[in-house]
Amino acid sequence: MRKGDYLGNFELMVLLAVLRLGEDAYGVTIARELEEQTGREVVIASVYATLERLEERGLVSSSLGDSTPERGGRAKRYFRITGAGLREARDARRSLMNLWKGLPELKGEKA
Amino acid sequence: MTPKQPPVIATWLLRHLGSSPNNDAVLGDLAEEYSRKGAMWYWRQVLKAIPVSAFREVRGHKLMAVKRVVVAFVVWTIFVGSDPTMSYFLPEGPHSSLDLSQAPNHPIGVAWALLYQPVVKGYVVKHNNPVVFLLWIQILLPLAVWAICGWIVARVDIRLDPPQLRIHFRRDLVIVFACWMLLMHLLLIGPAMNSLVELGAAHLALPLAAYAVASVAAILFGGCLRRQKERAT
Repeated sequence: MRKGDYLGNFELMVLLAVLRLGEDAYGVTIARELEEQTGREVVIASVYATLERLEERGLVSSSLGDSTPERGGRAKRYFRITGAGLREARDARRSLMNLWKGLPELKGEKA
Repeated sequence: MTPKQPPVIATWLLRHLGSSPNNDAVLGDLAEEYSRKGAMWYWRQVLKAIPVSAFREVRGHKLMAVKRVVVAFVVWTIFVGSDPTMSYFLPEGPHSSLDLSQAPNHPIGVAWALLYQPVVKGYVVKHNNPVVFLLWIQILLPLAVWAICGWIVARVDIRLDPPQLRIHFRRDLVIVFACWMLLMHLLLIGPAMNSLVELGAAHLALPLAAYAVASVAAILFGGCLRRQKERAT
């Protein structure tokens, strides 16, 4: 497998956020979802940089939405997970689950 | 109450320095969230968005970017090494105890001496020399050299189609170089100030910090000169 083939941690989180949000996945909602789930502030530009990488790899697709006055007349860019993205998410889940199995240190809440 | 209009300067900065293909969508998202999260959040997002998009664009041509940055830094090192300020002011002066090229004996010391030596020496000899002359030689000359470094970085020879992409790449490389220098300053200014206090020159701390900011601005200015020329042609 080539070096760039693995999904990074943030890439996987963004991909899962897009999957959770379905039709309503754009920069703001993805960033909010990540902030709610991780408890950390997310840089919206980093979300887009990650989405651009995922789109280059064919894991998500995007389309322009409507522009609204509260956005200064700028259009939203909506993202959707592709079939390849779904397969990649499943593969990542399977690999991580296999790695997690049999690790007694990670069974409880305490480190 | 938070005003509806996001900070104009921050928006201008991101519109002109952000290079993501989705820059417009980022600006729209920030405007949408601004009323909920406020000006501090907006500024934080903008100041992080500019390097994020610049680094992303430059990452695709790492080797070329590293070569340019190294060339620019070599130019600066030659300038410091040639030491034009000292040949004017301190042939065998009484302030030789502050000769920074002699003082540091560890890598961090060498690095901060390399960055700050011309300016610090200028202030050290201030008492014996006309201030206007010092301003030109010891403050503006180093800043001019930083601007030349920015210009050199922006001269990167890269073939990208359409030509607009090439202009964007050059701008991004200048931003990356400026960010890198800012990081160097943030890492080195603390040790530099400690050393100045030890040398009994604590009064140089504020000018040094101002110089650090000005040098980053000079790099961006030098990079812009190249862009203006490209637009004109």
